[in-house]
Amino acid sequence: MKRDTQIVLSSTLWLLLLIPIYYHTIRVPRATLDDERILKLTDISRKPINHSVRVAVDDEMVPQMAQACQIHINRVMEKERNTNLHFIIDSECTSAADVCIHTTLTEEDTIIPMGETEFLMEYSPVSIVSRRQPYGVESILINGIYSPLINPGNVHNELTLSYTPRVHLIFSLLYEGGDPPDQVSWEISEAIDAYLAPMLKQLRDNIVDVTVETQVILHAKIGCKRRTILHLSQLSNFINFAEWSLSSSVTYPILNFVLYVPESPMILDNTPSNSFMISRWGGIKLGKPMKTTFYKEDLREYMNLFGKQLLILLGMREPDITHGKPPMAVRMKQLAYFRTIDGIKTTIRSLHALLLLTSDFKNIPIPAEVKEYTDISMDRLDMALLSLEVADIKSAVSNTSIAFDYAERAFFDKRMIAQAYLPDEHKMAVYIPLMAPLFIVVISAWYRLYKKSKVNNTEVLITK
Amino acid sequence: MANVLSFYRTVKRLDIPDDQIIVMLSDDIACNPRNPYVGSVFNDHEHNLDVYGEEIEVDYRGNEVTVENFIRLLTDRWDEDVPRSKRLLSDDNSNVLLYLTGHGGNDFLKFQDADDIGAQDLADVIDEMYYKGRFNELLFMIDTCEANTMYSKINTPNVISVGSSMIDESSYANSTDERLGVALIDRFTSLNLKYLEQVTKDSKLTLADLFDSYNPSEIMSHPGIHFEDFRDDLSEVPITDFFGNRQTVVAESLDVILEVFPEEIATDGTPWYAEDSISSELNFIIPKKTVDKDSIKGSKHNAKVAAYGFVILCLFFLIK
Repeated sequence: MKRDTQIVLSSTLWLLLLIPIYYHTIRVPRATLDDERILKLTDISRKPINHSVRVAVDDEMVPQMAQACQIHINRVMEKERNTNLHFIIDSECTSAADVCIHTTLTEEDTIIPMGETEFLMEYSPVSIVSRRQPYGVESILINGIYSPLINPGNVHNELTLSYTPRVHLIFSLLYEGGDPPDQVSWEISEAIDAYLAPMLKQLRDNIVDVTVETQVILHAKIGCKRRTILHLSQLSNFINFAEWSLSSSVTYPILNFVLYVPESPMILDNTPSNSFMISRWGGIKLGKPMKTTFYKEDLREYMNLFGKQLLILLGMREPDITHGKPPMAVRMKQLAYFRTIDGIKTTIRSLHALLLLTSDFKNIPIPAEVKEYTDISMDRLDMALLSLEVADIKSAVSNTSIAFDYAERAFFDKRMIAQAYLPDEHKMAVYIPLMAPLFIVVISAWYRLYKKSKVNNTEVLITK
Repeated sequence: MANVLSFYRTVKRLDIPDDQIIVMLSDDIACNPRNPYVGSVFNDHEHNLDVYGEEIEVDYRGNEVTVENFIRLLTDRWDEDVPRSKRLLSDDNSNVLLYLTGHGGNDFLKFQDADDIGAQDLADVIDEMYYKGRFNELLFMIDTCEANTMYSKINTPNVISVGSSMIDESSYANSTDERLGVALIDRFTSLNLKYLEQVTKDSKLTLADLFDSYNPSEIMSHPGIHFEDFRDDLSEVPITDFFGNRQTVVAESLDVILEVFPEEIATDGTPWYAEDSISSELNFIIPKKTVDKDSIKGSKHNAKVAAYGFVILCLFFLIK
């Protein structure tokens, strides 16, 4: 081979080497998400989620009471279209059961709550004779104790904070006046410890992680026109967002609880509790005018109200009160169910959003970690769904919160920015100035060699 | 720059707090040594109102104003340590107002001198926000030359887009300051703000009223309005849904809801739920009738369903 051919060939090889490098550097790294699994979960989330509660009905009075209950309840629940709730009825009251029902014979039909989650149903001999098994236990469970889980009609959706594994509570004392400033004080941390701590602990252990912050703001003028009797239509402008600094540095959702102390009497029209709530934001209570010092005992009433408002904001539903008020311990457990089911649905929505994003925007990089996160999230979702089926709410709560965190982390991964990474026009713009001149030189060299070899061939022919 | 700052003053007057307003300013002209009015920016040549003033919170300025940061802001894809005040923490209950101004052209808006965002990029980002439920409704306003091209690619539901000028049209300034030698505010923005001046926190004016007020001969270009699949009629959407901070309030019915709770949940010592369970009762009457739910709920008063307003105001390049 001639020397000039060698030179052109080697340059060509170098140039060809550039092409894979070019492809490699402009390639957007895209991990492939498990589409099928996400779509399957999306299907699950569109129907009512399958969940179970464990109830114990003892058979001391009537043998096989639990079995009779189970059969009867299954028959009733099959017809329910809004919910996919199942009852697992045990015959022995263990710690795994949410609610225990004991039965006994006395003179009249009545139900007596015993402790937090146990009930004693007393029957008169007449009703045992005249009624069939399971003697109304199914009705107490379906229409009474578990009515909030079965009838989603009583939810205050407009108030409920969307699912979050952690929430920050800010308790603020807002004083309309403020002179002299050092006179205004409240023993809020003592009051929270005394009155709210047990409930917050319950929430932390079983439902949502709660953090707390408190503050006092003076010279707090309300956002709407000040009147002695505030009309309800004014309330949407009550909060003076421009002047009251009610935000915090935390990046997870915040709920506010405001005790507003006016300088002169101020009451809400037609609202004896003198308090109101703002959707997904918090609760407000108008306190007694001019009161500057709040001791722990004074705050009891307010902590009581704020605690209830917090539960409403978290989505605690109204039971059907025609059947009485179920104990709070049972309602708390049900709250864990609502929030977990909501969390599962929210997490699946996030994963589905991520799937739409990857299929719609071909240019967006999908780092391998994002796939990893979605896989972990889906594993945890599967576990949570399974836990719900076997009435293990504690495990469902913790798995849902992990699944939620990973799904959010996957969706909000900071490397997934399409435009900032490498827009299409940049790919050409960056490499053409480098590659085009080289290609021109190499191609023209080949052309020259080709022409030269043609000339040489003719010369050979002529000499022959 | 006066465009953005005047918008900032307006939404702030309508009670949107600073932590719900995100302002991006490409250059700090208020403190620029070439500005003879140090620390001030005016939006009319008579210098009636200093729109910069003392109480201003600019979240992104100078070099921070990039296409990348803008996209990160809308999609919330940040490092974990980016503070709350620099983030758009909206959810599916939030109404978002996005106002952009600067140098634009057919399908693009310039960022500083080096970069630009295309109409398709913007549409994609808005789509992403929609997928993740980062807004309930979004009002997108843009005042640039050929502004209407910027929303041409947006077909996301619940988004209303408003532009100042058609393709091949410029967006003109309202007044020029002879002493400064620069134009101060654009016609489209200034007419919007003039209209918004009559809007109070409890105003009943709607977006349809605002859009009807646009007069092409006054603006000297043809503003465009675009929306697909918007849930309400524009004549039923109050301006304060986007420019104000109205919220859903529950007051009267709260008393009814509270009744279902035990009297006391606050306790001093004994667990609150244990104390309560003694007082709670369940009626052991096997029900024969269905329950009338309305009787439990009682009367309901919802002042107005409107979500938290979030506002993003951006200026990407100095005045045209």
